Amino acid sequence: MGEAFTLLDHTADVKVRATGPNFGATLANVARGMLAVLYDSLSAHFEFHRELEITGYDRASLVVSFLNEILYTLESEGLVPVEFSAVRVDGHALVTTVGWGRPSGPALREIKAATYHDLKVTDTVMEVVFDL
Amino acid sequence: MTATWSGPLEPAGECRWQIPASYKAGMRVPGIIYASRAMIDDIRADQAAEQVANVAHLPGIVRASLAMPDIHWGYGFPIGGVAATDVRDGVIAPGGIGYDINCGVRLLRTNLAMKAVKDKMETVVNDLFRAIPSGVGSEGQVKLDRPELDRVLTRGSAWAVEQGYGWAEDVEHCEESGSLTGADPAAVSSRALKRGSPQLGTLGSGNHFIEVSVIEEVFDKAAASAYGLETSQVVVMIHSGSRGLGHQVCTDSLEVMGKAVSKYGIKLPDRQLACAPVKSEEGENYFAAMAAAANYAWANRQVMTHWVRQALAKTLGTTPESLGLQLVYDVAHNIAKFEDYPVDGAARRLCVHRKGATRAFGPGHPEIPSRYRQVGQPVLVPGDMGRASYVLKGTQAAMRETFGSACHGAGRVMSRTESKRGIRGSELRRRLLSEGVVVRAGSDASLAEEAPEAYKDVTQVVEATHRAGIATLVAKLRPLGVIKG
Repeated sequence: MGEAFTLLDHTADVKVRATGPNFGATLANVARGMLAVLYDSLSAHFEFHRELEITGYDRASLVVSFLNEILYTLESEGLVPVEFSAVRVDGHALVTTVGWGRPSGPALREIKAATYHDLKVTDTVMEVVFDL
Repeated sequence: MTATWSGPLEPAGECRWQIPASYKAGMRVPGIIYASRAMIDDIRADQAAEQVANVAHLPGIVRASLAMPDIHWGYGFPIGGVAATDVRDGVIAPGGIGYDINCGVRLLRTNLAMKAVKDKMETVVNDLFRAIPSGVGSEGQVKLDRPELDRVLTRGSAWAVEQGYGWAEDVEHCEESGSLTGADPAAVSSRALKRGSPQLGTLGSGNHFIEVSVIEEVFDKAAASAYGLETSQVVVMIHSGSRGLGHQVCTDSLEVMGKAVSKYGIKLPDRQLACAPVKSEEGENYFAAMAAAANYAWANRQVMTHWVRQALAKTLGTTPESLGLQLVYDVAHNIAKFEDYPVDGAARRLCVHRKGATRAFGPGHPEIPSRYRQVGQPVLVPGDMGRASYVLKGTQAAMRETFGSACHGAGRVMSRTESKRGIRGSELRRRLLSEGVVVRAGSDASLAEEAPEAYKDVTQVVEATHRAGIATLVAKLRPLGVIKG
């Protein structure tokens, strides 16, 4: 198995490639890659768990929505995920519990969104382009 | 590294290259890229040209999928992309506007000559940096409750001026008078409203900036004079957009559009091009929310204009009025609008998407402020923070060919990861200082990513634009002081 995630060049943006043993683990690794774009080295302590329910219309849209949910939570509440657990995909919904914490410093850069461009989603490999 | 693009680019006139509609099954029109021969290698270095071909698949697209000379690889649309769809049977695509809805630029003139500020740039830049909140997640001093935010979304620049953030004539000197008709706050999600509420009057991060520059050269005296510009004059540029509110509007709409694509049986080569008919519930709701976000962006730039005026006047011990800090113009470069053009001899109402492209209306157009109408609309083209920016003017050729559009900036050539690897922010700041540019940035990392070498040379971009005739050169600006988000 290679790195959990790698950041790939994209002219105006950044692409995160993540691998994992199953859908939930790979998704968590994409999220970790996204956090590595936001913070060169993130330090945040666990504060609480919260259940997340994401709805979409297929697996790809669940992945994009999950990542955008994290970006929204960061901007609206100042929280980042520090702990991921197993995910349950139930039809067009994804349910998981995320441990959230407050980062010790500000993000180095802003991500506007996770996009659908060049999106690859399998259980073990995902590639997502983020708009910076 | 990114794969190079080896598709067909056929010469199609001065600084024009065509991707024939036969290149890819499903293209409804050809692609046209405006660029000089010297720029082609850079354009082929990534997949931006493929994105031009992808946009040509949009239902109802008219004439051609266009790309301006600052074309570079985006997501869905290329940056620098322009696509017009017929409102009768065409679509509206949020990816053709982007996440930073109505990201745009405004230019303020002054009565100051460079010698009046040259030795004070350090103080000027520090004072502006303090006066205007910038950086990731920055929050402003304007507190908005829900009814007030609704008024911002409906009225744009006019709201800000009425609150005391600016002068009455500022509104006339904005594209669309700083307020896009059709905005409906009810179409904006509560999430977008929550993100927008604390951020009005903030610069943001990334490539957003405030720049104090000097007019180094005037190419077109008549146009420059109409715009109130002359050689050696100090000017100020503000580049920002709709902040988290706009990002959320786009994110929300792509979820809706993803479903709409199946509902309306639309076939697309890239999911980021998800769209819906202009005349559908999904299309109309998106336009109403997009217009509201556009108005937020105009209000945002207007509030910052007020603070720039206050800060500069305080630093220089005078008043904004004595400094002659008038707004020359404000242009949007990520937006969709309904505009009328002749198509095949008949007048058509089109939905013109500009994704990293500037409206460039030619002389005589009724939507240009009366003072500029004879010469054409000011087209503001910021470059990188080390070299130059330009003012151009709109032309009749743009009206005939590009739906009144031209380039919007330099266009990146280096990815952010590449530029960060090769350049240190602190060294860059010292280097720019030795070249006469004072820079303040939120962080050294974000500064490094915006290094001049990460961008195409904007001079090459505007020269190709000028040679193509879709906007022509008026003045060249050289940076003196830059605040990066």
